[in-house]
Amino acid sequence: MLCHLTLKNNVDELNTLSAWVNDNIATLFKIPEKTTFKIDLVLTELISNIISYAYPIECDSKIEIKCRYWQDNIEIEIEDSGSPFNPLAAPDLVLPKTLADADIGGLGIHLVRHYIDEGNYQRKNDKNIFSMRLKI
Amino acid sequence: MAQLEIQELDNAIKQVKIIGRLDIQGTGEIETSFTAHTASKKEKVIVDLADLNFLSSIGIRLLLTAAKAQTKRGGKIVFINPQSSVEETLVIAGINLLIPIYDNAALATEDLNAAVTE
Repeated sequence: MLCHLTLKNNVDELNTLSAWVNDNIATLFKIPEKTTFKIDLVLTELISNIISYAYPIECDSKIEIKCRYWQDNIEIEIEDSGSPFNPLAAPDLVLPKTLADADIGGLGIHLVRHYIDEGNYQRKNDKNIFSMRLKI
Repeated sequence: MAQLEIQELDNAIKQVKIIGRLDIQGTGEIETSFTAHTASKKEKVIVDLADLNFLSSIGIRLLLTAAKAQTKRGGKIVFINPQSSVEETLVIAGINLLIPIYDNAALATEDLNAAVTE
């Protein structure tokens, strides 16, 4: 079974994304609340990044998300036509040891990398294709 | 969507309850008010996370910025009652090492009273 969502590269679309995860994906695939939280978080972080940074010149573009349930795993693919960006290539985040040192950037990608069980990035036909797998 | 509920407790402790989701929208909705309530003057603050259903990196940054500012003023912020998924996110982000998380208000109060002097 495959679910599909198309979003515009606009920050208002993040509400549509969360509603899709919590209402459609969670119900259709009967996913536990904890896994739904992870999918919601991972997609929110990745799509926020795309909307905020992938389009340096303002333009209307589309982000395609496909999601399927496969043998106790959720497989998700995100495709966008923004600047090349591999979420797996960023250096590991060094977590701050004191509040005074805390100046966290890159936290979203750190969370994504922690929550997914497998990720794969490709640049194909001027598009970013990021696919990932999360165990239920 | 997110909103705040503010309560003045004994021992000059302020409790700030975050209700809803701290995604980009929710964080934007409470940002100004949360910062005003938690970081504008030296205070002992309990942030109640029991009704926080979702926390993304932008929300974590808001919590962290407030705690950092409050510490600079000589006060302190602690968290209580996070839901398990929210707590896990805080731990993965290393926030539990910077801002104490308690499972009840009594322990939080004890910490604040010991850490912050008048």
